[in-house]
Amino acid sequence: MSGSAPSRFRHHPLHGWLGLLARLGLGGVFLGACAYKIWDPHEFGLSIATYEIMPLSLINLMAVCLPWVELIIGLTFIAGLWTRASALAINGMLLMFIVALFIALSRDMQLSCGCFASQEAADEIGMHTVIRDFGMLLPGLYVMIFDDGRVGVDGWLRNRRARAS
Amino acid sequence: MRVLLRWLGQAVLLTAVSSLLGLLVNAVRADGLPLVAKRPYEIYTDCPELIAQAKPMAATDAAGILGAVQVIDARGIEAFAAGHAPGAISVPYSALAPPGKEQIEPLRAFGPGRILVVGDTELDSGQLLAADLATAGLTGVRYVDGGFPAWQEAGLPVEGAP
Repeated sequence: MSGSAPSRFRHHPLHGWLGLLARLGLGGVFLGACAYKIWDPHEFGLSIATYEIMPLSLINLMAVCLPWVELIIGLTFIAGLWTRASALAINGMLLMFIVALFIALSRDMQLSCGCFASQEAADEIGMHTVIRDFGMLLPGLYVMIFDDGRVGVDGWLRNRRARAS
Repeated sequence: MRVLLRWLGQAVLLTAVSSLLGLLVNAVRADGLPLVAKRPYEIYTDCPELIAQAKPMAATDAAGILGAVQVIDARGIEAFAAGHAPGAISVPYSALAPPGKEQIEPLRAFGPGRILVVGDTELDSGQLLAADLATAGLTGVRYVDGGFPAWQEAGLPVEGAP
């Protein structure tokens, strides 16, 4: 293998498999998170409203769209299709959740996270929720930097194109 | 840079297609939401896990936030008349009659985390009223640990004193 040591490290074949693990874990979390939101958008709308950040006129739009963004991008992320773009979107969503949590905590609000279940679930937000979301950023960033989807649809498409040419 | 822009473009496209799918599904499902909420969500409902979760605060710490909070005095009317925190609103605590809607609603206007309750120590009325307010749906309610005696000991301002 040629190239400098950092370049060799960045393109090490092991990243493909570690990236797959990261994608399965983090993508699975997103698929799990979107389930109740798709099943009951009104309940998710209530969760959004409870944070008192979004204007009322945008709450339903977000409650309708965000769960499907989590679902589709969770699937493309796991499948390794547009891997880096999916990782970028996943990290963007995580950052958005972290900002919302910070705002709620800075206002000393006591509410359920609404991340994986409705407001009725005993999942009160706190610094542990922020740390959890920051922890989920790590696999997302790893995939963005090191995983080009070689163990996934991206890799399969690249190989097919290479064989064809 | 060009690569980043390509990822960003793909991410935006994925988001747009997913959102469109969400809108389509919402349009055909029986329990779909109106895209703009017609009335506010009722977020101030009793949640069992959230009842009575007002937080205590040391009187010495209260000094730093006095300008940013509305003080609610939970003591009796006579004690309030004898001296209270500047600008405090009197809402005497009663175990038999929790604060009514006419008392709660004006307090919502102060916003989350802006209510500080001061009571007396014998009844612990500050803590009890703060719990009532939290149960009624006000978020981030705090109370002064040790009540008005601790307030005075900390040298915090008092008005209306003879």
